[in-house]
Amino acid sequence: MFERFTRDARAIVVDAQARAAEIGSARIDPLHLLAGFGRKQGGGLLAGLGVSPSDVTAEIERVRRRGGMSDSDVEALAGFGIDVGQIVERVEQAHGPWALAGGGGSGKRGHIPFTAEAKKTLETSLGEALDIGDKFIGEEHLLLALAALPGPAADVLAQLDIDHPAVRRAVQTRKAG
Amino acid sequence: MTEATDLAAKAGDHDPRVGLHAVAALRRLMEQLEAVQVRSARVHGWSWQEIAEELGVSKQAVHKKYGRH
Repeated sequence: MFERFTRDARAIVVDAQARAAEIGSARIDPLHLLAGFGRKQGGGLLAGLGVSPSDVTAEIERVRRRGGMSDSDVEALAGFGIDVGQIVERVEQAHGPWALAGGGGSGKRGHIPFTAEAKKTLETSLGEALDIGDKFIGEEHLLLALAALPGPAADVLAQLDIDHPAVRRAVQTRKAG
Repeated sequence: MTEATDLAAKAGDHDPRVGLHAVAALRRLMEQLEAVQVRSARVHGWSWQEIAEELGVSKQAVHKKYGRH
């Protein structure tokens, strides 16, 4: 599948790996993949959606600090009587600020595996490409997959008013132009 | 929608989606909490064996996940 990835899409995956290593994550998850869009200079796709890369980065950081819990995760857990804010506060008191943002990675260089969700995202990006008749997998298909699959990455995008149909429209506008 | 799920929706309680979402979120949060605790135990000089016993998993499992080698 990777042979179908464009240079841009590969750059996003490489960036996700670098980001995971940087913050000591044991696995590459969809938020790491999304972070690649936030760090991209220019951010053509996001700009077309009316969002700046730094907005995406800021929102990801906020979610990361809470152990990867999006606003909708926090809300869902509140239904179980679980106060995520309080957990984060206690953990940070004991282990320092941003303690929940890492992930217990060994800090070793080299290969960091993908989470099941991240694998699913990559697979779905292939489906997204086929859906709109593209033979390659570009960053636009990755973003479509991130928006389509339920989870923190889609929640972060939703927080910025970006959903799957919105990405679809932006991709089509870009294709037409 | 079946009659039963329709009734449940009308009753407006226990939306399965919210419950399932919460479970998925809790699973992810648990992974992060485990990582923090394992890291802390290592800093405090605990062996992989000791950590594994406390977590109720094999030493190999915990080492593979968090180990340096």
